[in-house]
Parts: sequence; structure tokens; C-alpha cells
Amino acid sequence: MLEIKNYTKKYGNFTAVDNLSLTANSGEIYGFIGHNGAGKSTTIKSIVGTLAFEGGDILIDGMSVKTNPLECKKITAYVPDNPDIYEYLTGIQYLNFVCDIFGIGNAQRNEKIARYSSLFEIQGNLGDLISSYSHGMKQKLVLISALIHDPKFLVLDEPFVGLDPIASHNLKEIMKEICAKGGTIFFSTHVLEVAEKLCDRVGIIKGGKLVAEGKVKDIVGDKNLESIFLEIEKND
Amino acid sequence: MTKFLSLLKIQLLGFLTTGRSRGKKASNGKKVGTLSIILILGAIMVFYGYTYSKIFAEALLLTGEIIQLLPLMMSMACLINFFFSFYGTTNILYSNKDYELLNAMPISKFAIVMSKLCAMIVSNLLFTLCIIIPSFFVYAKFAGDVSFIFVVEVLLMTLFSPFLVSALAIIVGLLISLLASLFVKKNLINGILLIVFMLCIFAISFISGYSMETGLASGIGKIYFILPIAIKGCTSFGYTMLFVGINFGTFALVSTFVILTYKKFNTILSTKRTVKNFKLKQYNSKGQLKSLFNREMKRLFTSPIYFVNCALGVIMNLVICIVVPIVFSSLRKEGLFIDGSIVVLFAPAIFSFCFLLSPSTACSISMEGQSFWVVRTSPISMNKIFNAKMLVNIVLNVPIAVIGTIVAMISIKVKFTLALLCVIVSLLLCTLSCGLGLLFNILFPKLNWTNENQAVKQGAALLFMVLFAFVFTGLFVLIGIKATISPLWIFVIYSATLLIFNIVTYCLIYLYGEQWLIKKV
Repeated sequence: MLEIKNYTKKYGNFTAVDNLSLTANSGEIYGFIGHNGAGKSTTIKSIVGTLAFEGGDILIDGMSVKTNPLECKKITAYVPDNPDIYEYLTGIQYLNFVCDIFGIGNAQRNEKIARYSSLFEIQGNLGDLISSYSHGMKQKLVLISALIHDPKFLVLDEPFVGLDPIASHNLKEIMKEICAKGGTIFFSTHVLEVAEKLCDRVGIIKGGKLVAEGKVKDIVGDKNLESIFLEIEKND
Repeated sequence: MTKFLSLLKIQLLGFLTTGRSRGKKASNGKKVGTLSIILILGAIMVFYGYTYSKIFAEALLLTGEIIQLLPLMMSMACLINFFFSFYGTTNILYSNKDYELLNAMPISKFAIVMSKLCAMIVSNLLFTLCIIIPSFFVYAKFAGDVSFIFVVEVLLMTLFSPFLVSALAIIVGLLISLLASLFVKKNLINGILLIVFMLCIFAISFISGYSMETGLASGIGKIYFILPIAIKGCTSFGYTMLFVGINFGTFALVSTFVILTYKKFNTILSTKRTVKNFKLKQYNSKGQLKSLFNREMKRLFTSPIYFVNCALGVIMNLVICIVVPIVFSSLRKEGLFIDGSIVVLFAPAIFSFCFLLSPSTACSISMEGQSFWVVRTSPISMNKIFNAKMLVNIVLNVPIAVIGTIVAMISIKVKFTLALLCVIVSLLLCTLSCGLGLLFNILFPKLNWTNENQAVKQGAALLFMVLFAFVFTGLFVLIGIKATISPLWIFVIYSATLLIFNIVTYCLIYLYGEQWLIKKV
């Protein structure tokens, strides 16, 4: 589903990500791990098409984000690390806007809005302006808007930040459900326990380079992901 | 004191910076470019200040009241400063994102409020000086004799003139915001109240405007009520001090009031009202463009500052449409003959000023702010996003432009062909302002803002539009005065030129807009 080939991103003379290559297959949850400033968000922003890049290519379902961005976006959903959304709209107006943009029909939108807003316990607040929402409520709304169009590929940047325990649990269940249906999830996190339990495969990025990649059980062995990550960080 | 000065520096940067977001180093080329634009704009403002005061001076010389020139120009600057302060009150003084951050720091309320108020005064003073300095040279040229004490009196009054208007703008802005906060859709109500207030100001200025019988000062004095004191202050130091006292005293009183009530009013204004017992309904799908257009409309109508800024041109156009027929019918009743084909030559100057000064497109990309990722990660082409933004501008401006021009043409009794060409020119200026605004915003987007004022009023795109508005208006006036060929041919040339400008602008947007924007954000 996701294929990153020799991806390189530079900011002036500074190379943020250097020659990164990885693959996330259908039905897989891929965890992207790294310390602050390692290049996780830069990579994610290039995958979802908000950041242009110089070297390499990124393919989603075989289509290049450079040459076929609209087709890639049709099957992709993105949840950023900060839920900055239209504060001047109400929650329901925002969800309907996203549905219109993705061309969701009446029956599907009504069913999905009812299902996810109830699941994330936000239905009673959908008539309020987003400006009145807390950080967690905005995060839930962004998650609903990402799930509402049944994406084949879901990109999440720190999705659990700000979520209450019930919402976090529900999100994990939904992530597993999407993968069971053949979808792919690519997400970044600092919570290594979550990554270890949830992911099929992980990639560890350091200083813009992929330093470890593979199935969780192969990387971890008889240790845990946290100790592996700390070892990698110390080996400099 | 150190904290106050640090805060003042930050506030002044917020007031005076343009397209560059803080924290990023601008290249030398960009620095030179921004500085050049500011200097050109400053030069144009000085030129307009000089020309405008020269016209006033010639009128005042006839009635032997040249002494009134500087107070009159000061009052003009004060009226414009009133609106700047008004924006500042509703966006910078209150309801600013920095409120919680600053209040959590060990800084006194006095330092926080005074830094914001002082920044407001400094920016108002800079504008006043741009108007007064060229006017002073005009005065010296016409009056001949300028004494040292006169210079001191004028200087003192100029320095203190922004204080009273800023204080009054704070009170009016606060009252409107408080009234609007009673409603769920407080931003929309706030915008409507601001528009109503502005219309009242326009109405008062029209009703109490200039007439030969009462003189210039009495008309303007009905709005700027301390103008008589300012006029007397030019010849009497006692009145100068009275002017300074009224300005500073009012400002001191209002500042004390703001400091004492700052926390209370900020709490009231930041309180969110919610809908009780919300129930889901059945929702129907809309097309992408319609949905984007609706979103743009909501963005416009829920941001008072954005709404008022974009409505300014429409309001001015509307006022002119109402005023022109009234003025022409009264002139005809007095038996005066006016050649419509000559008057119509100045119509494009009015249109260009109304349309080019503040099109909604000039800040519509900047207004996306940090939420721009929503549309950028959605399966929609950038050109469709541009179309929605331009459509809002067209929907707001075109009806007024067409109806207004037709009404004006009928009232000044212009031949059909000339009237038709005038409508075409008006339409082409309308679409040009829309396209140019978007093009400049594509080239100079400002997504990292902390309050809407920075996106709407301080973007480089708007700076360029103001520059264009002044240049186009000046050119149209000049052609109107100097024209030797028939008005019909002039309008044919205007139409052809504007059509070419439109084609070039829209080609640039559709062919390169997306790639230029992506490079910038």
C-alpha cells in the first residue's frame, strides 16, 4: 500500500530526511518511531501531500504522490499531530464539509456520522462551534472526519495525544478493524508500549535516516521496544 | 519596566510586521523587497496627503481660513485612526490568543495592557505623521509666515491627537463586542454591528458634510468634535494645552478602566455559548465547489475583522451609488448643468479605489492559517479552492458594481454606449481586484498568525493591493483631468487594457498558482 523509495527532504542546506526507503503492506499497522526532530512529521507530511520533496518517490497503492496526488488523496486519510481545524464551523458542519469533499453519499454520511460520533461520545457537541471544543474533542472530530470516508490508507501523527482512555481504546479497535479489512495504517508515536502492542511492523528513524526496520517481534526479540529504542539512541 | 518594554517590542512587531512570520529569517532580497514596498507605499501616502491638503488649502484660502488646514488634516487622520484602533480593540486588546499565556507569566496587568495600548498609539502616530508632515509643507507654502510657537503648538497637538480617538475606539469596540457576546453567533453579530456603526459614521459625514455656507470645519467638526479646539490651538497655547489635556485625560481614564476590568471583560468575551440538546438530522450531500464556497462564506461572516475589511469597498460603492443620484438631482434643481460624459471619466477612479483597496481574496489564503492542511490533504485541486475563494469576492462585489454603475449612469444621464462601457470597466475592475488579490496572496501567504488582524490587515498581499489601488486611482484621475480624446474612446481603451490585465492575472493563477503557493507554505 505504501512504498517510500529513496525519499530525501532538504530545508536549504539541512537534510531533514536522507534517502529513506520503507514499505507498509495492506492489512498492516506500521509504527514510525523516533525522537523529536528525527524527521517523522516531515516524512508524514510528504506522504499526505502537504510538503514537496526533492529526492525519491512515495507511492500509495502504486500511485505516485508527485504525479497522481488527487488519486492518492482519495484513498488516504490524515490525522495531524495538532488538530487545527476550522474553528468557525460547528462540528456537524465540518463533518459534512469533509463528506462533500470526499463525495460521500447521503446514506453513508448519515450512518458514519451517527456511528463514529456516538463511539467517540461527541454527538451532543456536534452543534457547537469547534472554537468551543477542548483539544481532545477536536482530536476526536479529526479522527471521525478521517474515518468517515472509509480510507484504505490511514496516516496518523501522534493520534493518541489528548484522547481520553475510552477514546484511545476505541481508536485502537478501529485501527485493527481497518487492517482486518485489508487497509493500511501508518502512524507515528512516542508511546512505545502502544507501538509494541499494536504494530505489525515498526521503523525507527534517527537524524533523518532509517536505522531499524522490520516486524516488531524480530526487532524486539526477548527485550522490549523501549530498551531497543534507547540502545539505538545511545549508539551514536 | 523591562517587562513592559519587552512586551511593547513584541506588540509593535505584531502591529508593524507584514508577510514574514516571526522566528524565520528573511533573506536579504525579501528584506529589500518588503522595505521597498513600504517605502513606495509611504511615498504614495505622503503624495496623497500633500495633494489632498493642497486642494483643502486652495479652498480655505478663498474663505481666508488657511489656519484651519492642519487641524482639518489632523481630524482626517484621526477618523482613519479610529478604525485602526477599532480593529485593534476587538482583536489585539481583547480576545487575543496571547491572553492566557501572558496572564500565566509574572507580568502585571498594567504592563500587559499598557504595552498593547502604547503599540496602538505608536502605529496611529506613524500614520498621523504621514498625513501631517506633507500638510505642514503645504501650509507653509500657502500661509507664508510660520512662527516657532505655531510649530510647537502643531507638534504637540499632532503627538497627542491619536490618544482621544484610540480611547473612543476602545470603548465603542468593547461595547459592540460585549453586545455581540450575548449571542451564539457572536462573531457574525459583531461584524454586522461594526458595519452598522460604519454606515452611521458615513451617514453622519454625508448629512453634516461640506457646504459653502457653513464651511469645511463645521461639517467635519460634527464628527470630530474637538476640531474647534484644535483650530484655536493653532493660535493660542492655552487651547493647545486644552487639546492635549482632553486627549491625554480621556486616554488615561479609558486606560485605567481597561486595566481594572481587563480580566473581567476578557473572560466575558472568551466565554463560548453552546447549543443544548443537539440532535443529528439527515444530511444531504453537496458538490465540492458549493461546499468550498459555503465554507468561504462562513469564514467571511464569522470573522468581524475579515468581514468589515472586505465589506469596506462594497459599502463605499453602495454609499456612492446612493449619494450620486441625490447630489445630481439637487444640482439640477438648482439649475446647474453638468456634462455627464465628463463626470463619467472619474468613475473608474472611484471603482478602482472601492474594489482594489481590500478584496476578500487578498487574505483568503492567509485566513486558512494552520488549518490549511484540511484542504491540502483532501482530493480537490488547488484551482477549485482558488475558484471558491474568488467566487465569494465576485458574489459580494459584482451585483453592487453593476447595479451601482447603472444607477449612477442613469442619474448623470450618460449616453447608452458610454454607460455600457462604464459598466464593463466596472466589472473588469471588479474581476481584476479579485484575481490580483488572490495572486498576491498566493505569492505572499501568511499562515502563521496569532490573531486575525495579522492575516487581514498586515499581510504583504494587502500592502500590494493598497499600492495598486492608489496607483490605479491616481492614473484614472490623471487621465480624467488630462484627457483630450472623446470619453467613448477612453473607455474603449480602458476596457481593452483591463481585459488584458485580467487575462494575464487569471492565466498566472491557473497555470502557476498552485506551484507558487506550494513553494511558499
